[in-house]
Amino acid sequence: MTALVILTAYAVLGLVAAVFALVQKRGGSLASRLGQALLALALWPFLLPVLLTPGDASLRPERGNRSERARRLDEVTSRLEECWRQAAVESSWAAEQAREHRLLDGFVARLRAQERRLLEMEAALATAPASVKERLTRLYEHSAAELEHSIGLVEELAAQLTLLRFSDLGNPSAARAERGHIEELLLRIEALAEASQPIPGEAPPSAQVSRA
Amino acid sequence: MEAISRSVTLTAEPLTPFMPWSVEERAPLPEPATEGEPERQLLVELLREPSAIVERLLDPARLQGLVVGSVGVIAVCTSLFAATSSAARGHGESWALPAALVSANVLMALAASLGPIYAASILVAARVPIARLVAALLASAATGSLLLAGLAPPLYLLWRLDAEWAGPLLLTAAFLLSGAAAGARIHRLLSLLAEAVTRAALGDSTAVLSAQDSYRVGILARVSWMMVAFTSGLGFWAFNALG
Repeated sequence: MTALVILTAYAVLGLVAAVFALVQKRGGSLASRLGQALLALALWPFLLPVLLTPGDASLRPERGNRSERARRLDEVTSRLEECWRQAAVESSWAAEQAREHRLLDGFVARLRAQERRLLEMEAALATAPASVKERLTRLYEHSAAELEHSIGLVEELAAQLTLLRFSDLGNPSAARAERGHIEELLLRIEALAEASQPIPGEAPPSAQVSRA
Repeated sequence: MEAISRSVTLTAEPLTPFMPWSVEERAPLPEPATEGEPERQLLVELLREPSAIVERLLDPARLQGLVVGSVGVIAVCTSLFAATSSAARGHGESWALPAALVSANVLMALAASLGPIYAASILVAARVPIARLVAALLASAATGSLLLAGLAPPLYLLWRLDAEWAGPLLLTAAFLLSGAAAGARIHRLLSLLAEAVTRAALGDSTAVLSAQDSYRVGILARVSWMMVAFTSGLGFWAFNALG
């Protein structure tokens, strides 16, 4: 008798899960939604959490309405990667800059984090009380300008790497000059990366991330 | 070697003297990844690539596939083990009942342990989103089930050879090994998942978990392992699943 009650309760909850799978918007075609509904009917303890999560913004890999800055960052990152690979094939100097390549990877990752923080700040600005709005706006503008400057540096580096690929076609000293420009840019990027390193005592604790 | 083109020095890599220089020749070789590459099979990833499982866990579009695939692997592998074990003990005609009971028992045990594990994750300040927790738990149980299925043929052989000692010992060892593998896998999956989320949040691809975070993740993994062991043990005893 008890087993029958438990089975009935399981089936009722399974039906609810199946209906939910049927009516949800992101299901796709009717056939796939029917398949999902059948699966949910039988395996709702495992599938219901998955069906319920799409609304959870924390699980989404990225936002749908990406900012112009984020697109520019993506574009310049892929261009830099491509230019660096080309230059590494055609120039022994570029092939030997493994440390600089790693540094750039870290720098670009930091820029992405900075971009995400700016998006959060935009959201905070919309609801910020008047007492802090002005200071928050100034902070936002300063951070945005800093990020734009950093993206500009990476763009310039990608352009210089393109130039380096073809510099040996002309005057031999031109290649040396281009390398000098690139090294100078890399030094500026390294200085920026070091400046934006969090001080150990002030680092955002990773506990913030993993803590509930 | 002399350069074919006077304006291009061959410094980075040697070129063939049998072909003229061209941009295409000097372009880097295409990466073998991304386009055209068939997706790795879930079975392979369950067995040897926890980092690939974490990629699936982090991608909401592939989460449901991981859950359904893991449930399928658990059902098939545990049924196979139960049927083989039943046949080895000479209950050949009634292998279907243990097969159905064992797979249902393991799945019910996993479902029953979800609530306490989620609660424990909140208590130790290491909350895992419930969908990811479900998928991680199922994936690790699927790894253990695959090991169990792999041990089914030796069990049949040993039981036939020595039903007094070797067979029962291997039966016990199979469950212990499978449990150990699943426990190690859930620990690894949760650690990699926490690390991936931390890296994405900090924007630092080299960031590692702090000692405190690792400690909390470790506690959660041990609680998960203990809860699943308890609920599945209870189920095996209550249903007399193996007959």
